[in-house]
Amino acid sequence: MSSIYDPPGLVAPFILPAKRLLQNLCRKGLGWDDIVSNEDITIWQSWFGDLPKLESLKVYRCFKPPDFGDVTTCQIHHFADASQIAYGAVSYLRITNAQGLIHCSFIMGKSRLSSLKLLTIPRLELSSAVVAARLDKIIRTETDMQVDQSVFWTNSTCVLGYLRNKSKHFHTFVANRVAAIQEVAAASQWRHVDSR
Amino acid sequence: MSLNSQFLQGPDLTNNLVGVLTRFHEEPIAMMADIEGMFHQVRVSPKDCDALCFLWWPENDLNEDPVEYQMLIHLFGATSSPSCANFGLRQTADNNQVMFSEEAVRTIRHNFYVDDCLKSVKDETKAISLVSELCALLSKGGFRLTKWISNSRKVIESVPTSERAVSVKDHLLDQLPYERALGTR
Repeated sequence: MSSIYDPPGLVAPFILPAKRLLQNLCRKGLGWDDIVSNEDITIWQSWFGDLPKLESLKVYRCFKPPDFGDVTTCQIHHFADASQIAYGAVSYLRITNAQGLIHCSFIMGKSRLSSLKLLTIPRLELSSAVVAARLDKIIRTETDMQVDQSVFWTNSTCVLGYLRNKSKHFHTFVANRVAAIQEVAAASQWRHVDSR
Repeated sequence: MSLNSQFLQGPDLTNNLVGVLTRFHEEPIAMMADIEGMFHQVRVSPKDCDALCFLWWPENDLNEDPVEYQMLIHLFGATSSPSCANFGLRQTADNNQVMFSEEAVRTIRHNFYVDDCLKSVKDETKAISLVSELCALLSKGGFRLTKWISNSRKVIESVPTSERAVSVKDHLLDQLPYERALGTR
């Protein structure tokens, strides 16, 4: 599992179930030599059976399609999402050319298992927003492209509420994360995406 | 306790891996090369060489008594080596920046992951001049940038056969080979 080499997080959604299984085994307090339950073995075997399919995954290296020409606008769109099990964010590049053609490509993504301590969904959603903010910071530091705008998307109205709130004092957990996000992006850069 | 654990690691001068890969994805013409034996091209300061002493049998003959040797160059595995080698690379760029284009100097600073060069540029003309500039610039510091590969036939053809990757050494096939870049294919 740890031997899958994927720095940009291209196959992070695929690796996540295996990480989750390992987390569950730890939660059950299993040691190295303990026998894994049949149920867990089935999960593992199904995941492991799918693993060779990654071989056939092909991604075009260049963010720009052939003959795209000069880029006229360049935006980064980050999508943050969370569940009780895991949270994460993914970043896409959206470029247009002089002919008005639009092209989107995957830049990078990051997923994390939710901690063993149970957190509420709004807090997990907020954690995913922090991941999105970090991705934006990394991409903007590292890229040679002229990025005109970063846009952040979440389906959590709670997160939008946290980020737009100017008066209320938050619990430390929320306040720290809101501060981390605001360091990177203004509240106006955050948009709601209806996922129902 | 080992001697190696007493070495200072020095600053981390390696570029961010995801950053190098991201920049590699930005432009249509891709090229890659690596520095031959990078660590071995960088001398250890004489006053530090005593920390790199070792015993070895003369002529690899196990029947002989071991003789004391000393590394004069950086070796793989020493805590201090990556930082020193990266510093040597960057210093080469700094020392020679007036003689080369800004793009070449920038490439050395931003598009290397230790000894691996991953660069993408807008067109073939730019790529061809950059390849020759990078080789010339690095040779000023005693580094040989070699094993060149590109997704552009013209760029590969511009590189002397001796400096090309094995897969494109003698004859270029109709279909250029797939290559791995820092583990990603």
